[in-house]
Amino acid sequence: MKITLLDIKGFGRFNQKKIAPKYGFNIVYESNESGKSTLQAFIRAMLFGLKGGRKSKDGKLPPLKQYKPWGNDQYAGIMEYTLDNGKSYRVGRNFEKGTVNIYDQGANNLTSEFPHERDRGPKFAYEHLGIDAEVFDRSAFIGQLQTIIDAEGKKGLIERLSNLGTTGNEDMSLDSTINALESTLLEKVGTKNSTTRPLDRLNNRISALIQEKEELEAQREKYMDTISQLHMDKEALAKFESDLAFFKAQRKSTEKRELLALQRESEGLLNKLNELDEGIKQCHQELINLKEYENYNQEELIEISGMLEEVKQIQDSLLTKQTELREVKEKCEEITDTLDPDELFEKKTTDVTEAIKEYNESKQEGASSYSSAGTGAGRQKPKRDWRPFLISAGLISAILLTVQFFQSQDPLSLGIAIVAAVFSITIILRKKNKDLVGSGTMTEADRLKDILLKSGFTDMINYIHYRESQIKGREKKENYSHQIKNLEEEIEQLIKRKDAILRSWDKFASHHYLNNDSHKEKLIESIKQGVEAIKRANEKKQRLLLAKDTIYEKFQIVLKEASLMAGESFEAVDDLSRYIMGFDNQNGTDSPQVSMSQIDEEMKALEERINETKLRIASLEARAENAPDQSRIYSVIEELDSLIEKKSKLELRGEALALASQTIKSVATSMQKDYIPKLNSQMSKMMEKLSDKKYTKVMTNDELVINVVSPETEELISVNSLSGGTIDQIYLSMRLAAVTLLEKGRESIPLFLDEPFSQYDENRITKAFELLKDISKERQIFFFTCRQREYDLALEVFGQDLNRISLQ
Amino acid sequence: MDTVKFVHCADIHLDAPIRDNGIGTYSDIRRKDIRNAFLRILDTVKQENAQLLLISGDFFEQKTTGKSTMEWLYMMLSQLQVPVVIIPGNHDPYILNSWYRCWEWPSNVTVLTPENPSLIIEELNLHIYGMGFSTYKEDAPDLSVVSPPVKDKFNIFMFHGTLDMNFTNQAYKPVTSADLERLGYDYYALGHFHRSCSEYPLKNAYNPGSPEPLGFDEQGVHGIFLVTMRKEYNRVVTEVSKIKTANRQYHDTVLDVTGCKTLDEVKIRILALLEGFDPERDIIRIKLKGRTGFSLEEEVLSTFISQDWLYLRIDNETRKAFDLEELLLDNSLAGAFAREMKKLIDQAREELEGDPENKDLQQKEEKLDLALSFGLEALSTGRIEWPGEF
Repeated sequence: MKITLLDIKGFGRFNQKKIAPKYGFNIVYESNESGKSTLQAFIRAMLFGLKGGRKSKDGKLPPLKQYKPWGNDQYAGIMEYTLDNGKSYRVGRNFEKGTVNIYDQGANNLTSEFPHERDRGPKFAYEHLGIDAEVFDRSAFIGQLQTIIDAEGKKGLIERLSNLGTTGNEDMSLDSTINALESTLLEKVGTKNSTTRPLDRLNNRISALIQEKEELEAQREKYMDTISQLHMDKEALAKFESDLAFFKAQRKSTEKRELLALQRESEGLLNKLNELDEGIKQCHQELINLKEYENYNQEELIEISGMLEEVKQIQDSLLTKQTELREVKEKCEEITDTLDPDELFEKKTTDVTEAIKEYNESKQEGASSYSSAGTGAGRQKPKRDWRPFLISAGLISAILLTVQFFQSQDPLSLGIAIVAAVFSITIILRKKNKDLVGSGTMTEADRLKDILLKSGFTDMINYIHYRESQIKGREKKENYSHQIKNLEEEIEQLIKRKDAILRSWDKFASHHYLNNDSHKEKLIESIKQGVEAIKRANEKKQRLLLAKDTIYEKFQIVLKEASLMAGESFEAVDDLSRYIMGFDNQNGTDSPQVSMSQIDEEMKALEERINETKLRIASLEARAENAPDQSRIYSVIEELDSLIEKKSKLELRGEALALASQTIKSVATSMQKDYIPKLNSQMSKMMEKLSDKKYTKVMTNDELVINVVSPETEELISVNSLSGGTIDQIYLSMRLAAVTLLEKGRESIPLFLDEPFSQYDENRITKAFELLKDISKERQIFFFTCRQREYDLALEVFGQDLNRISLQ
Repeated sequence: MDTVKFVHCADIHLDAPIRDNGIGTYSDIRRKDIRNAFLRILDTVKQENAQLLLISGDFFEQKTTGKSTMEWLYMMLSQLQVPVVIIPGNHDPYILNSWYRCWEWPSNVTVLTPENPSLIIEELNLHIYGMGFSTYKEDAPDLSVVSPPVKDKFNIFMFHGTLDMNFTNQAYKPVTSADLERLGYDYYALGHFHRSCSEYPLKNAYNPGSPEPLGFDEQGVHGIFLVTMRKEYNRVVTEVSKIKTANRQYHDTVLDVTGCKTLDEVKIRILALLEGFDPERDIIRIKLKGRTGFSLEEEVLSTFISQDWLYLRIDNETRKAFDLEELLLDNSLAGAFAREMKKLIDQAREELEGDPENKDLQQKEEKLDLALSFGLEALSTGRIEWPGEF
């Protein structure tokens, strides 16, 4: 691009100023404050427009206001330029109105053919140059440099060189770019090692919220467990209460049944009491009726009665005794009639007794030659003779045993048979001998017999009978006589006793005003019966009263039992009946026959369980009331979600920052390997010219350190060790080289050099102009200076090719 | 009975935390919206004379639902004169201390559980089998335990899980249409996914979605299904219609503000975008995209615009204005960086085109774009202008 016309209608200090730059080298040699910077701004504004807006923070006006012309209505300009391809364009811009028009060399308005920017209008400059305003500024304008040759100045210049080599922008260093990204990453996001950055704060808050969430969830789990337990307990309680209701109904039914039984029992007892009362009443009446007997003494009556009985017995005894006396007297008379008179009996017995005495004496004399046995036979009672029986038995046994022997051939039978036969024979022989001895006493017996006959006895036996009967008869008579005496005495005693009793009776009858004519036994019996009746009546009354007391007590017990059962006080059966009437009819009595105690036990157990469960439920309900703060759960979850989203975004930004930083580093490294050799090549060519072939090689290494090859030693010398002037030359060469590389393949852009050689000596300025002269053959250059010397040197170098632009 | 008419809903999520990052009482209002949506379901049952209400899981949030909600539910459900059949979902699983276990539900409510998975309602000539969740996460179910359909009855299979989706990492009870088809039921009452779907390979499988949308990934109209099953010539004919129950509608919009020179211009464009939306009904998130030369403060915009709206969120995803086309031709480091990043972004976008729903790829693309913006900003100004919040 070559600018051919600058027609400033009004811009800053300029008013209706026309400038016609040449294609090559244009110098603006003017004193300070003459408008050099304004002209540069005008060119930039014509190409890219002016930025509007408000004042900046430091109070600087925006360009649109800054360049508003002084005292001129027009704020506009026209610029014409020709591109490398030979096409020319005319741009008219009204800054006031913000309008732009672009025409081609045929005066065709091309404005609408360019893309438009809202504030700056059509992007024709971008279309024609291939760069935007920013890049144009960075590339085309080489401003007033800090070429003060001191440490600071040198450092700044080196940095710019480094920036230019690494970022393509002398105002932007790779380090500051990376630093911007990394410090933003650290400060605005956070890194692994940071602890207080936003991401760290977010993570801390998230951790705290997660912990709180876990605690709230744990609380809620507990709460739900409580609810669960409460539910189970309520179900259990409902079942217990249902069971209890069942048992209550059953108890009611049983109670009714049992109360009915008690009612029946109490009614029965009442009936009995009534019966007893009736009995007692009867007894009472009976006692009234028997009042006449009440003065009789029971003992007295017994005594009187006993006496009357005794009288009766006495009379009976008298009768018996008198009969007995009469009979004994008759017997006595009868026995007397059977007895011989005492003299007769004496006589008879004395004769015989004498005869017997004599007989015995004669017998005792004959006993000395005979055995005592024979002598004793007359005095002793003859013994029974067993010998015939023994003989017969021995013989029969011998015969039977002999037969037995012949049948059994048993020698023992034969032996016994022989012994039996011998025994029988022996007895027979001894009997014969005895009978022979007795026949020697016959003479004494005959004399006795004779006496007996004389006394009137047939034999001795007759005598003995007589004597014994006479003796016995006499004994009996004596006995009867004694009996008669005794009986007579007894009868007399009985009569005496009878008389005594009758006197007592008279006394008794007189005392009780009894009719003595009445039959005593009957009377006394009647009294006795009356007294007995009183006694019985009293006893019965007492018994009935006792029974009444017992039954009444029982009745009271039954009522008390019913009262206890019902839990109400029953004074009478009617109370109980009324209570039973109040029972629900549904509480029938057909329920299972379970005892009240069983039911009560079950109910007690159930009530205990109900109470326990109710207590537990109350406790659980109290706990259930303390539900975790639901709103807190929500806010924690929602804040957590929000923070997690923020964290995700922040992490994404952090990752993006890291990625940008990493990519820039990587790209920078790669670019250095590609761009820097080209830059070095261009710079070397220019430095060779600028330094009059002293420095022919400029090299930037991977660490971005710029070195030059020492002309003396051929060694690389760091730019740091060079003089300020040389560094300034290197900067110029680098800027020029950068422009060359930047526009490679695109439109060549004009260069605007503003006081670039302020620290150069004459030689260097000359060399620099010589370089610019070469460059100006292909590129339009605008050189701004306020120094006469530079203008003169430029005139020397460029000669007629120099185009001076006057701003006056 | 030859016809049965019922309402099928799912994923109500009563008492759910609201994850929209709303301010003030927004979350409480939204939870109330969910309740109102549920009330609309009950109203629908009454108005349409439906004979049954099916809730296919995620009725409420087990982790946040309180006792007062259960009391409210008891009151509402007990007023309904028809049977209500529920299966637990992954948000209200049938765990030990679940409300399903430790709460007394009205007598007309039946919760189908592993112990009690099926129900026959003779008066409706209906057999229902339910397969819900007993834990917060469950793998593929054992369908062999499902009892076969009952002859001559309408057979409904209630299922909460993932149908025909290949979520290998986060599958909740994954099944396929073929798996369910083998069961031979007449109607498959599905739940779990919050977007309504009735176009499964499996005939008569319906997922009503959430009656009230719960996030920006649940846009569109939300509601329930009203189903009529009829027997015709020994086969069951099913008619399904959708009924809207949602109070609100989510809108996630993108606004390119490239070219806006001032904040006011951005505001005007936002206001223009909001034309036609209802501040009471619509929940809106606007992502500002594009490149601007000035700083956009989300809070300033939100404060200015969202006053009259229940929820209006503006996310500033704009990037600094760089002429990328020009930079790509630049020989400087910025140009080289731009080229390098552009290459990576193009690759990411290509991948994203093949899998547009892939969140990882979306994030990757966003990260690259952001890195480009940061890098260019750092290269041009030597600093990063950071949004206020971060």
